[in-house]
Parts: sequence; C-alpha cells; structure tokens
Amino acid sequence: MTGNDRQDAGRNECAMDSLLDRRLDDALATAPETYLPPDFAAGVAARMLQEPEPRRMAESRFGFWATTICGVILFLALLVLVPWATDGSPRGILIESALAVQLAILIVGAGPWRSVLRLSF
Amino acid sequence: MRLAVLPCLLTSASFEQLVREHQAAVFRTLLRLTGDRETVEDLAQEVFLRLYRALPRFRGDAQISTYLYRIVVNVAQDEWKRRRRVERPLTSISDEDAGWEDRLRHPGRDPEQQLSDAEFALAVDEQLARLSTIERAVLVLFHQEERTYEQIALTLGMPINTVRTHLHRGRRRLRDALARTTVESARGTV
Repeated sequence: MTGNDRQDAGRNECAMDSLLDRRLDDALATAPETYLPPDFAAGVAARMLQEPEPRRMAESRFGFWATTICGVILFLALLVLVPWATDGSPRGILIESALAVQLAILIVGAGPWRSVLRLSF
Repeated sequence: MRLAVLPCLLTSASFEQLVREHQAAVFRTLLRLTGDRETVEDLAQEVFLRLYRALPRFRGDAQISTYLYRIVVNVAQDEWKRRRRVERPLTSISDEDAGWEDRLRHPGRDPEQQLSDAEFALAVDEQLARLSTIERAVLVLFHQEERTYEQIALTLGMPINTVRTHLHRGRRRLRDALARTTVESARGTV
C-alpha cells in the first residue's frame, strides 16, 4: 500500500466515523412514535381518586447526621450508666429508662419506616 | 412548572391537567428506556400514581419535570428488574406486526435511504437496550429529551461529572456496537 493509498484510507475512515456519529445523533434525538390513548389523563385522575389522599408530612427539623449523632450519644450514655442502674439506685434506673425511651423514639422516628408510620420529627 | 404550586395539584382536575402536560414526554421516554410498546401505558400510569403519592414530599426547589423524569427512570429500572426475574426476552421498540414501510419516518425521501435509516434506528434501539440502565437513561435524557447536564444530574441524583462520564461511555459503547453491526452486515451482503 502506498502513502497515498494510506492517506485515502485514513480519510475514508474519518468520513465514515463522522457519518456514523451524525446518524447516531439523529437516531438518538428522534423520539419513537407513541400512541397516546385519548382518555389517558382522565383515567389516571380517576384512578387517583380511588387512592387514599396523600398526607403532607412536616419538614424534618433535624438532619440525618444530627439524628445519628444524638442516637450514638444516647446509646453510649446508656452503656456508661449501666453500672449505676444495676446497683439498684432508683435514680439510676429512672435515668436509664428515660434514655432508653428517648433512643427508641429516635430510632422509630428516624428509621426508613418513618414514612410508613407517617411520623415527622 | 415550579413545585411551590403543587398543593393545588391535589385536586382531580388540576392533576389531570398536569398529566396532560407531561404525558407525551413520559410515554416517549418510557418507550425508549424499556423498548416495549405493550407495557408503556401501564408504566406511564404507574409513573403518575407515584408522582401523586409523592406530592406531599415535594419541597418546591426543583422543576416538576425533573422529578417526573426521576420517577420515569425508576419505573423503567423496576421494569427491567421484573423482566430479568421472569426472563422475558428483550423486545424492540419497532412493532414487528407493522410492515417496514410503517416505520419509515420521512415519506418524502428515497425509499432505499428510508429503509436504511429505519434499519439503523432499529439497530440503535437494540444496542441501547444492551447498555446499563444508567447509561441508557443518560443518553435518552440528553439526546432525546434535550435535558442539560445539570438537569440530568438533578434527575438521577449524581454529580455532573458522573453524568458526563456515563454519557461519554454509553455513547462510545453504542457507537462501537453499531460500527461492528455495520461491518458485519456489510460482510453479509458481499
């Protein structure tokens, strides 16, 4: 193959590449033809009426990280205060119980089941 | 449409209006992402029902079309997972019952060229179905729906550079596959 032949082949390849790119652009940009049922919007709206009204949830007051950090602190406090509560001290048991309840509320309120329970914090 | 006005959408009539405004975009995007005409209406219904259920969680800081496209991509992704579970073979967007002449988009052009374009479009759809869900979504949103990088990033919840990477990679794969197909079909005709 001579130098000219090689040049021609390179030019041809370039032209083919740009043609392929152009055709690919055209094909991707052309949306497929779709059939829209004329009563589709009305049908969806009618089906929507059968759905229970979506409840509006209040905006979260605390971010995810604040909730996680509080949860960790509560858990550590629970662990640290265990010896005090196991001594039989009524004040220790009371504080431990209060911390445990707070942790439980935080877990229930911040967990993925929050939206199921429709809770908001 | 800004999401700040969404509380008024909770009436049936205004929701119907919203569906009317966006149904064409939802249908064509779903069709391109799933490649199946049979299920597209059911999937579109699912998209709008998910939107309705999600309305109370809107914060009003994005366009409704961005949120809607996100739901469309999620529904298409669920459909692909479902198909994998039932091992349903891929079907092409092109309706096999229709003749090739029905698929031609420009009746005024040279029939041979039109057939070639239709075959190429068919090949693009087939290869598009072989890409990953994200690459397919990025390509369709960018080329067909003319969304910007920023809008696609918001829709898919990823950084703009990741969108660029998926677009570049998806396009390269698609192009390579099409180049191979073209060479193979050229060899077949010789």
